[in-house]
Amino acid sequence: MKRIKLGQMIFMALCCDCGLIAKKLISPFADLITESLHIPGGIATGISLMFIIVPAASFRIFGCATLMSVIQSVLALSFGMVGSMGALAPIGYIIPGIVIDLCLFLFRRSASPSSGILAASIAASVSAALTADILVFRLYGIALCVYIAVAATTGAVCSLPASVLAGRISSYISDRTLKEDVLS
Amino acid sequence: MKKRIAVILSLIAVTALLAFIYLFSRASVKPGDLLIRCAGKEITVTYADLDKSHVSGTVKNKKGEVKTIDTEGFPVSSIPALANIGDFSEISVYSDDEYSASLTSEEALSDGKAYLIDDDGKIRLIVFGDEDSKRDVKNVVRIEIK
Repeated sequence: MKRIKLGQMIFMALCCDCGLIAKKLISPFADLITESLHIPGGIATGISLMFIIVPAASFRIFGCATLMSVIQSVLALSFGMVGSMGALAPIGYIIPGIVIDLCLFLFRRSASPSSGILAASIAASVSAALTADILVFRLYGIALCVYIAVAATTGAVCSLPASVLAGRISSYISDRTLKEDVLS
Repeated sequence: MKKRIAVILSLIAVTALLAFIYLFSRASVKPGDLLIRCAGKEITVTYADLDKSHVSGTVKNKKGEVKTIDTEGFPVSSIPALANIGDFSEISVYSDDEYSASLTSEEALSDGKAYLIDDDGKIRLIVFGDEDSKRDVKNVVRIEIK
């Protein structure tokens, strides 16, 4: 496993905070969409996961997303930002982190690193939605399909800014492959 | 880049299609009304017309904080009578966003355990004695007696 540099750690910590804040800020707007669709969520989490994907895709350190998700879950518990999952919130944070790491690992040799970001973003959003559904919502049938589809779409849309941000950050860590892919 | 845009547009199209099917297939309930489903029957009752009783007690929210309830409410134990149902195993209470909570027949029939209360014009289920608020269902629109 690569050693994580101090600068990378600081950026990861900043992204953990940004993810939580983004979730809180976007929730009222996301609720407008989810309430009109009569589903219990699926948008805000996808947006917050973008802030875990960016450092994980930029630094290419296996376990980076999992580590960040653990930190984010501790922060969420400390700040009381547990959402509808209550004390089970850490599970809802950590599972998408593991999924992001696995996706980025599977796509590590892909010609286009942005494909890995897209796959990681969709898979993480869907895993977060499924975790919340199993632990709390217990939706089934067409309602579950809409909930998962909304989460997957949010993840896919968020992968676009995540790719751009990861490309910009990669310029500071000499990752030309990712940068060229995003700019092309 | 083009592939990513194609994936995103495909997902948006699938989501729109699923949302269209879902929104047009779900039963619509007027605000303040409750749809009760049991054994293939559907009954709609207006919450304001139900005989309510005084409800007081404490409930815990998801953060573990204790909140005092002191209001008027309709006991869940009286719901089977509304639908003329004698035997049942479970009552499931659904919110507008399909979030649901279930009560066993013993819980549902025990006095003072669960109530439907008015929460800023919306109907809310509260269950006394729970260690968390998982069965605190806001904006209740449907009840299924199984």
